Amino acid sequence: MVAGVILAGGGSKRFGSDKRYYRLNGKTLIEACCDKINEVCENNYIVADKDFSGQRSYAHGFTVLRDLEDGKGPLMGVYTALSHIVEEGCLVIPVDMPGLSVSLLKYIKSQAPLFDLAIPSGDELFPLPGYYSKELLPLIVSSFEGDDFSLKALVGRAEESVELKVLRISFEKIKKFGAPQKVLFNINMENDVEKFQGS
Amino acid sequence: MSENYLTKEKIDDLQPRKFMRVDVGSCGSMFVFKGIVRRDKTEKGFVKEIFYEVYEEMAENEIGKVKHDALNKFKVEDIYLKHRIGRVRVGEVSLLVAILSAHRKSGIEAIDYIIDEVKFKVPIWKKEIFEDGSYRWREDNARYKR
Repeated sequence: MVAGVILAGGGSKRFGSDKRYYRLNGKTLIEACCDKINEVCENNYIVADKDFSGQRSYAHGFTVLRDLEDGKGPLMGVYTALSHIVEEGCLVIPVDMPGLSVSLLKYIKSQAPLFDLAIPSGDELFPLPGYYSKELLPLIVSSFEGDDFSLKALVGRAEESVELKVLRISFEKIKKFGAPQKVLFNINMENDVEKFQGS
Repeated sequence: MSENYLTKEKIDDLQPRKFMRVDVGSCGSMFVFKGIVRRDKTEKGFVKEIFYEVYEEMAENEIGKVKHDALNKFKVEDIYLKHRIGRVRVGEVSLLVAILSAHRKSGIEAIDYIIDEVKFKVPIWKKEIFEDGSYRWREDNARYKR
């Protein structure tokens, strides 16, 4: 079984306001994420920081987890989720990728029995959205011990491990689920919204 | 029972008419398209076979949708579709599409539409395997710009 996880932490410093509640096409970014993950997984979580305003109606049935340590980025969010879930792993999506398609998420989830980590990778690596199994926990702990909080670095280390199976999902594959530059578009700044809509 | 569009078995000698609703008298046209694996010459050498990797659950649904859309979009009576998955050798048929229609024009348009839609929308990916055993993933989904 695979849990669904929305990473909704982060300060939105570059965006200017709390982007989780930015409304795009009639829904806030977090609302849209909840709808999508609900279509893919049964047991769902939101991992957020201390500033998250808690349970909302759109997140009905979601368990809200607080980052085990604030300000440490998405790797801490993944670690928090993996430490709590009863499933073997989780499908993790960031709150700020409004173009994610449900079909892509279902495909990533379908890789769970075969791999410990499955992430998109084209000209650059996209550590999110991705499937992360609990087998990664020791590697994450050792990353933290080395003061390394990079999700991308974790992927590299997982690939070096002989015990872990990692799948890089090529852009050629992702194209079947939508244009990669659209489905993997990450909104960081307010003018990214315009770029996203034009992509 | 829902139709299965994907198969690991050879489809070269399939007779689609046996599986189609032939309304004798109203159908004046039948087109059968067979996509065949080519022995393409590339910088890596000649293609020996293609491995069709599939996300089966979604691919079956997507092909069903393509068929449904084509039946609604074009004046055709029936559509039969089979796609090979797994290893398909040079010279073997990888995709079979048959269309029954009253007139030829709508059949031609529908067949073109179906092939394009299957190619671009259905999660089936081609791995070209060369005579020396090396391989590469085929890039032929030009609909999306990078």
